[in-house]
Amino acid sequence: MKITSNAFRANSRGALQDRNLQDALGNLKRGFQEKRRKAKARLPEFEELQDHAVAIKEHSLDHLDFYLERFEKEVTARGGKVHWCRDGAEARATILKLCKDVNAKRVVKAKSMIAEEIAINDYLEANGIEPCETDLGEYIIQLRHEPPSHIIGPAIHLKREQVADTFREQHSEFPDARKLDAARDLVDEARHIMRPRFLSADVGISGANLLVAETGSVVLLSNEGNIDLSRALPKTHIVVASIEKIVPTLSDANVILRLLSRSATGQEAAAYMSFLTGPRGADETDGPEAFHVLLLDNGRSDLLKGEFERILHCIRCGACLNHCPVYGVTGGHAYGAVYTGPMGAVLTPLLEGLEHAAPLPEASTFCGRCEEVCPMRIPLVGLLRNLRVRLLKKKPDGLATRRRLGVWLFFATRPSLYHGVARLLLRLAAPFGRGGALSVGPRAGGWGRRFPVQGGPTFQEMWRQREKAKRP
Amino acid sequence: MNARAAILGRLRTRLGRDTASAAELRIMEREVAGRLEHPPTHPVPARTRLGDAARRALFVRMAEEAKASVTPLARAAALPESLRIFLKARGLDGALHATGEAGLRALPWAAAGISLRHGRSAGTPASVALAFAGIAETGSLLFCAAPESPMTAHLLCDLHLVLLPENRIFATVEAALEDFQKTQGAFMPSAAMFVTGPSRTADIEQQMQLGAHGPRELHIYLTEEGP
Repeated sequence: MKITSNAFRANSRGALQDRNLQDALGNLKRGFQEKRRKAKARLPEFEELQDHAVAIKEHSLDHLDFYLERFEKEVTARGGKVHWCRDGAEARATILKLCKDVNAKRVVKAKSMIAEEIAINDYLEANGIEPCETDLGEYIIQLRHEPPSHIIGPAIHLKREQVADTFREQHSEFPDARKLDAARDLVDEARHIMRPRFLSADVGISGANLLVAETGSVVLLSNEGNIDLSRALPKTHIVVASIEKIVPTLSDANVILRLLSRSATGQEAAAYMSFLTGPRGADETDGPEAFHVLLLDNGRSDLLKGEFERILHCIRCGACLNHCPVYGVTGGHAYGAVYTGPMGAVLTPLLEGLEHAAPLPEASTFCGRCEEVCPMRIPLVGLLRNLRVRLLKKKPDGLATRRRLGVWLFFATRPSLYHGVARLLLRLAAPFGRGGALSVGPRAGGWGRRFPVQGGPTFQEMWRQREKAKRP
Repeated sequence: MNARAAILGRLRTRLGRDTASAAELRIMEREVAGRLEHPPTHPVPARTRLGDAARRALFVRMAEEAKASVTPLARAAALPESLRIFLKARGLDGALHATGEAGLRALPWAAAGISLRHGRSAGTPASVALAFAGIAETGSLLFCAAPESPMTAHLLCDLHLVLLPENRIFATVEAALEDFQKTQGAFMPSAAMFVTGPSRTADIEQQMQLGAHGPRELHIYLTEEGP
């Protein structure tokens, strides 16, 4: 997709006025947050598993070259084929060629963030191949020509009535008067539409939750069953995965898998978890005859061994989105990018260039809930702060800002001086305040701040007095 | 330079392989090979370390929590009669799509008036399958792709009926995969699919709806004996 992250401020103002969106986002807390909390509480080993998961990722990234080659060797030995792609353009061209080689007319797609990243749907469509999204949420947004607004729930920004309107508009084969009030009606209609598409598709395209070097297996999770149908029915299965998805062994994979569903949806296990290894075996009656895995770099290798390496630990569970106070009011579309929320605010500037996503590192209160819930313990706040530092160095007024911060730093590192000056300023400002507070900054849109200026003692003074009073 | 060489080259530069000596690289390769051979021991949930009866009970509890039903049967041979009653109650005729394992075929289907269809499923209302294993930790079933066990048999029918012998319930995913590798000779099947409850979606207003693209219902028949 064409990213529009630089419009974040305007986008988020629009999002705050959007009643439907605000209603839909209200479900985040009742849904994802609560379910994750319960699932974590039921697994006493959760934090121990986190420690192991982080160690597995560190080891995998430290030996990425070895494990990717081993993975390729195993896939090849099982009759599959690995394709290395430097960037989105190479990945798109590879997928198109694989589709053309089998004269594909129709492709069924399972939800994949990487497929969004390389914008494969538009490309296939422009080249005469029909891409059908099969995950319900992804299908809804495909009909509406929207990007996903959430990693796990692509259509989480929509209300039931909006989905019903879209179905009425686009499914002209059904009678107008049909009932579409309940979620059940909508699910059934999508199921009815999708079944013949699965059965007639020439190619299935999916992402990958993990790649296992030891066995050449691709691990995929879904709840709807659409991924396994997309694999089992078409003659060709194309997996598109970014290089950091690799883990050494099945036992390593299971550590991360125990954290993934619980962090994402609060499930003990997704309804379907498949380990796919090579094309169908001899005499098997379904499954793909050809099995292709694309290994996509697209900027990730540049992050290795650098200050942003930890973002490569991300397993795309969406927990940081679900718990982010900013995402919780702006939704995903305001970020103007494929990856949204805290992890997106880190990854988007790194993959697309800071100049194309400058507001995203600022789209955080640094409250740290994202870090607390991240199953991979990614220091998201620290990474966002590093991006802010880079941003400041690049800004035209960056020097002036840094000078102002330098003045602040001078005082902030000398507490007694800082408190003395603060006391003096607050007392001087008191006559200018209204209702005991002074508004600073623009008042429109609620962006300004109100400082209490009562002319009385400061908090520090009150605290000291209180502590003194306690002593005998 | 082709993409493969370019990506691996970039990774090696970032990882400092170009400045490492040949001896250092050999040590690293040995370490990685050693880790693949003997992966570190990872924590396994303590709740899965159970005796046979408790493991069976955990499986039932977790499967039911995932909205599957579990029916105990004393003998596998009782399955056809049990399914006859089930199908009749649903107003369905006596045809079932079935996976082709010998143990499943050998059950007394004709006596119960049920005819089995094999091969790739075309989406009959109900299918019956023999699971390779059950997973107590999550209440999951494991199906492994094989000539007699097509994956579509578990995906295309509205009603997914599954026979699972009690002695095939393993504690964890790891234990079940290990058993496959030990008993089947092959390292991994082309597809190892763990199924936990019927297919589902919460994509509309986060309301859970069963029966998305796969089965609407999952009924597990747990047998004490055979096949």
